[in-house]
Amino acid sequence: MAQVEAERGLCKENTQPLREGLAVTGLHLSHQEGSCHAAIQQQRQAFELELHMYTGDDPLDIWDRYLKWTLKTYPQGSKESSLTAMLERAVQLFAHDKKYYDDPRYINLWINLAQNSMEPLEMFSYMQDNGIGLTRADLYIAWAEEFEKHGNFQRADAIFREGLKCRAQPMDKLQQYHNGFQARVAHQAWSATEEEPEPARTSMVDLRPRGRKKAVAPVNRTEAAGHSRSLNLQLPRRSARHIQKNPILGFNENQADSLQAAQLKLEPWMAPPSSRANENQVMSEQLADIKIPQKSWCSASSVTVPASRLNFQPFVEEGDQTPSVSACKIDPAVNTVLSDRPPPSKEESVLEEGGGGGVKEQSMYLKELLLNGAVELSIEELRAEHYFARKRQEIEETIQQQSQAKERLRQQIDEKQRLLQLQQSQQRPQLSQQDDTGTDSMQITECRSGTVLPSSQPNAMAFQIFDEGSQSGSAHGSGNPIPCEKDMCPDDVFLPAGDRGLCFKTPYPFPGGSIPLSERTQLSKNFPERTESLNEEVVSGHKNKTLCSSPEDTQDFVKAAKMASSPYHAMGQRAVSPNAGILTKEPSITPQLDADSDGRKKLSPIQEASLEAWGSMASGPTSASSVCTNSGGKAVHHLGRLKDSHAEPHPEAMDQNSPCIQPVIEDPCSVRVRQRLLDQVDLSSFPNFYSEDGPLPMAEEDGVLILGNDTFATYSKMDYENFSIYAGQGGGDVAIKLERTPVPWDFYIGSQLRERLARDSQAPVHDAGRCFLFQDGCVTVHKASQQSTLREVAEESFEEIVASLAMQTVELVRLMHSCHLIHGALSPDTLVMNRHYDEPMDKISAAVALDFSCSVDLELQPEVTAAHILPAAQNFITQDLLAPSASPYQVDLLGIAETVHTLLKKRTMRLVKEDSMWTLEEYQEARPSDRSDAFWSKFFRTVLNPGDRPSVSVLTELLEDMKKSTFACYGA
Amino acid sequence: MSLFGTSTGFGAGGFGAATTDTHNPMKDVEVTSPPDDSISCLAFSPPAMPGNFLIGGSWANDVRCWEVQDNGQTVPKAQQMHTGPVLDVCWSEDGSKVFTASCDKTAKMWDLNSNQAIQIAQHDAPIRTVHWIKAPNYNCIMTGSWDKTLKFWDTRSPNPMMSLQLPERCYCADVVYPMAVVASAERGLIVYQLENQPSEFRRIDSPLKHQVTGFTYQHRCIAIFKDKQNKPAGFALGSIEGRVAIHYINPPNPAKDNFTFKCHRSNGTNTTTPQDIYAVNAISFHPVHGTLATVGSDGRFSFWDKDARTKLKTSEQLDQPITACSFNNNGNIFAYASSYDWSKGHEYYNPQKKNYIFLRNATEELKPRNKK
Repeated sequence: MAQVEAERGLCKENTQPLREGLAVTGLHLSHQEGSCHAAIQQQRQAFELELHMYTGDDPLDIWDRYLKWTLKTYPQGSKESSLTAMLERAVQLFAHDKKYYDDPRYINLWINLAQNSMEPLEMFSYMQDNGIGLTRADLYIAWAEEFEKHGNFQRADAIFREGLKCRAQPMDKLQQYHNGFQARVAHQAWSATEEEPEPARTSMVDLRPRGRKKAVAPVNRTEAAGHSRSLNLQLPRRSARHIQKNPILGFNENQADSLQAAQLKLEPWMAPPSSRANENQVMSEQLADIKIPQKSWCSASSVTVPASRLNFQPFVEEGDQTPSVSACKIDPAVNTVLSDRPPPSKEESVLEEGGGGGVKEQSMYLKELLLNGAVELSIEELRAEHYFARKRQEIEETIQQQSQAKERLRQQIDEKQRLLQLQQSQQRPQLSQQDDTGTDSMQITECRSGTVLPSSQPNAMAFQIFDEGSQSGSAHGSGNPIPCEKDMCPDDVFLPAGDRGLCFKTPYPFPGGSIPLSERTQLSKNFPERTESLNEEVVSGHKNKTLCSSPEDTQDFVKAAKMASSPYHAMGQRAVSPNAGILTKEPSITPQLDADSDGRKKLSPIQEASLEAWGSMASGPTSASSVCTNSGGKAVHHLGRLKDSHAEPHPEAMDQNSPCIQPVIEDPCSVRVRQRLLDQVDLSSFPNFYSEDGPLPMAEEDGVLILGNDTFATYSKMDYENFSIYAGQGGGDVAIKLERTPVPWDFYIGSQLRERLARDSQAPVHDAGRCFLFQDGCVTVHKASQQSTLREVAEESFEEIVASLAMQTVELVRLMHSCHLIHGALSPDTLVMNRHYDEPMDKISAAVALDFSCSVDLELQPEVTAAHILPAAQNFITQDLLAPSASPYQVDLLGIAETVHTLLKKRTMRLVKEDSMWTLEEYQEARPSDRSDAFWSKFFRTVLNPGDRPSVSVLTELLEDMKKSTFACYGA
Repeated sequence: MSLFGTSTGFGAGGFGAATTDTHNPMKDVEVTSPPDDSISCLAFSPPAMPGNFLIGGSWANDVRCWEVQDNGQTVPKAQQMHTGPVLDVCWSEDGSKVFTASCDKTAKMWDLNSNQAIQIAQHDAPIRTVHWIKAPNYNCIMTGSWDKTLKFWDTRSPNPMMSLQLPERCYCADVVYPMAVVASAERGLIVYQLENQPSEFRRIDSPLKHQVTGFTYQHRCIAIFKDKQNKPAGFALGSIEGRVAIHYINPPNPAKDNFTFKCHRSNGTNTTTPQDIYAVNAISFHPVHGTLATVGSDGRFSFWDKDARTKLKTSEQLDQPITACSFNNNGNIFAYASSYDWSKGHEYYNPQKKNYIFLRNATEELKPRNKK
């Protein structure tokens, strides 16, 4: 602090005094510019932003605060403060608004401008002539002080009197200043008299005016010499009276009036005098409408165009011509148009050089908005500010929501903990009971998704080939100067350009048979979904739409682009290449690369289209290529429909053509098939099924959803490919899944699971939730006691917890398979942990699936006899992990492997084949001594290599093994 | 129905449904799946690429790529996202990469073959312009930002090869090797030479300066034009107030050769009512004829012959401003984007209003008069 004070001391002489005193903070800021520069800039930015964004009816308020801030922040009036520019702009901004003319804040702006200008007196005169601040004492005080600085006491006094005459408010303040002024004058006169006897005086200090201008010494000392030395300085009135007797300093009313007339009634002003002398300073655009007598004190006031004073009306652009230019390059022989100033013809107007000769103009953009602040903005900057302001607001809202959700959760946790304690006290007697009654206490019900990752995520867990070709890719990725994780899909980075590992799918058969080759290559690769945010809208809003069918539907872009994969769909051949799926440590890099370049070359061999060609295209009814694309378009259309029935995780699977199977087997997961299947089932006989008339109700985050007789509050929303899940409340916490297809397949599968499990008294009870079917969609409501998806749980857990999650997943699949149901799309994002807080630690219950949209009921769909029929299997088949003829159940085993691996390693699997057994790269050389290695190695070997054994027995055995292992933290 | 079901060619009209609309009064071909918010920039693929690919950046934070087929049909190819609005795009000269500049203060390199995008530049404020520079001894990306710097990036390093201070925020820029020009806020105008390494060549007083009053209008768009030897000769600078300046770098007779002309104004002939002046949103030079196109807030595009100093054509008025335009590499196609440019501020923004990109046959209409 002492140092700061010292610093201040060093430069405080430069500090301009403020009437209300200087804020210490501001002073300190100004003295520590280096460190506080950013803070100041930020504050300034805030003011600017406020000015540009202000929509209220008193913008002057901001200016007023801005001015005060500037004065405090830049007490030395540094150039950086751009005080003058700011004042000029502010003053001009309100010049058209008479209501501000007597506003003390506006007058304050003017006074500050005047005091910071080169010619303050001119400014004051201008104000007076334009009726600005005539009723404000401040004007007269400042004005008089200015005269006083210049030593012109006579006029200063005249100004004071003028103010008093106008009854400028506050009167007593004016009077007080006037008195003070008179006292000073008297004193000066007196001291002048006193000093008179010493004509040889060397110092003029006392007489130097206080202003920054060196004015002439004001007092005619010889005239003052006659005054009595006994003037009583305590009595300003008296002294003033004395002074009045002085022929020059003296004052009498009549004389004053004439003086005023002479001095103050100048010719009318065109515009405020410029406050600056530097001609290169840009004048505000606002001034485009008025003429500023720039540099009027030194020259060229003749330039001033006589516009009406302060006329902010359209501006006459007379001088805007460049006569020297207009004469040039005109070839009279050729040109009939290029006369110097031709009447602009409609068709062929000459570029009018400069001047339009007296055409009034008005700007059709929001000039005021751009120029509102002291700094001009471009349209884009304004828009960006608006964008950022909105974004900030959104973020704040999100934070608020999250804190609310957190609070809710905390309350729940407290409650559960209380219950848990309660339960623990009763646990022992209950335990013995449970052994008798089996699994009564186990409920496979309350599945919940708190914050499930958006649908674009599933790709992340797709399988991947470990590929040495990826080294370059990863090297590039790691060499990436600015690591920006969100931009780099981890599953992309490790693959050669364009490759998505096992993400690419064997194309699904087109019902119509073959598709054009061009389409096939287009379909070959996945679109990098991570980079899209439009996905959600696509999903929720635009179903069953033809690709690019209508220009109105911009959402189609994503779909279309998805099929197009990379712009140059360079990897076109890859998907149909028989080698593509082989998992080896030495993938066929070279052929792939060749394929790349080939694909690239083959790409869009568009001839240089001449105009003629286009013309003929236009005239011909249908060109060959458009036929081609149209047929492709139809095929795509069909695909789009197929796709709708698939939520995830690999909807792309459908978009592909499988070369290895016979054509025309209907997708067992398509909406149409399911609709047909459900027609055979009397859903209304199922408990908790409600069929509602009318369309799907609107659901939104933090809204209310009324379903049947129940009302649910909805909170956070997670969007998936074909559905959304809301966290909600209504008779306890629930998860509400909204689907846009009126096919309650999820509920059907859930109900089947419940029914079939019930056949076995040993099996746990499954709750299928409640289902509300609407005309255009359906809503499934699950009780949800847990907020976390498996991915979220695993995110911050030890391997032991993951082992538990793995067991829950295995248990779920085991239960489903025992009921002849195939899940089809296991994913850490749609599985929810099912351990209640109050549940005994030693029970393993099945994870809860929030999504059955890829599920198949083999009792209802006996035609599904082999894995290749399932869309979800295509991925695995391509990798050779799964034989096309394998049991469809095996799809889920691989799904388990994929899911658990994602939970465990947070990345996709890299598989290697050893002695005809698949294993994971990281467990290839597992040390048997390491418990973790041993556990997982065995786990993955089992699920990846089920052989021909029935999946239920594989899973049962696996589960037993896992339970026995001491590794899993709550294995029995 | 398929948009191109009946295969309409360029300029042939025939969009049955659209004829009564004012959104496409010129009956040009609509690009399928246009962005969901205002289109800020358009760029066609360079000559090195076979075929035509169009890149468009938007305020919806996305950059999209379409293939424009020779019958005018457009096929959406891919898109990339930024975390803020995209303000500018450019191509590498071999057409394999696209560079994008965004309000999220980053620039990205989008490899179209792999469809991957990585960040290659960072500024302290939104990046307004991005340009690819191919010099004999170096290649780099030039980014101009509202943080008042101009930076040059090797795409492999996190640090710029060079950073030049601008007097003000960068508003627009153009590059034609060996020349770059940057126009900034407060009427700054700087020409750079790029040989050996970028360096400031000359600061120019804004040619948009009013001859008498000295008022200058905000710079809004700039485009370099070439001389007969295909070397950059000067630039066209568009202002926020319906005026374009043609400025030569080293003209034989500056007073004669440099000039400004008015454009994008209403009531051109009527002197009794005030003339409405609109912003010039973009300028693009025809790659073959050297004529230029301007597009404005008034929802019109105009074609001009700067050498003959004549206007070649003005379009009908669209129902929205035209925010961006671009010629393809051989000058056959003129692409222009119709969307709100924010020129009247937030109140006039209608998010429901659809945006369009149109393609027009540009060969004939941009031929200079009295030639050949």
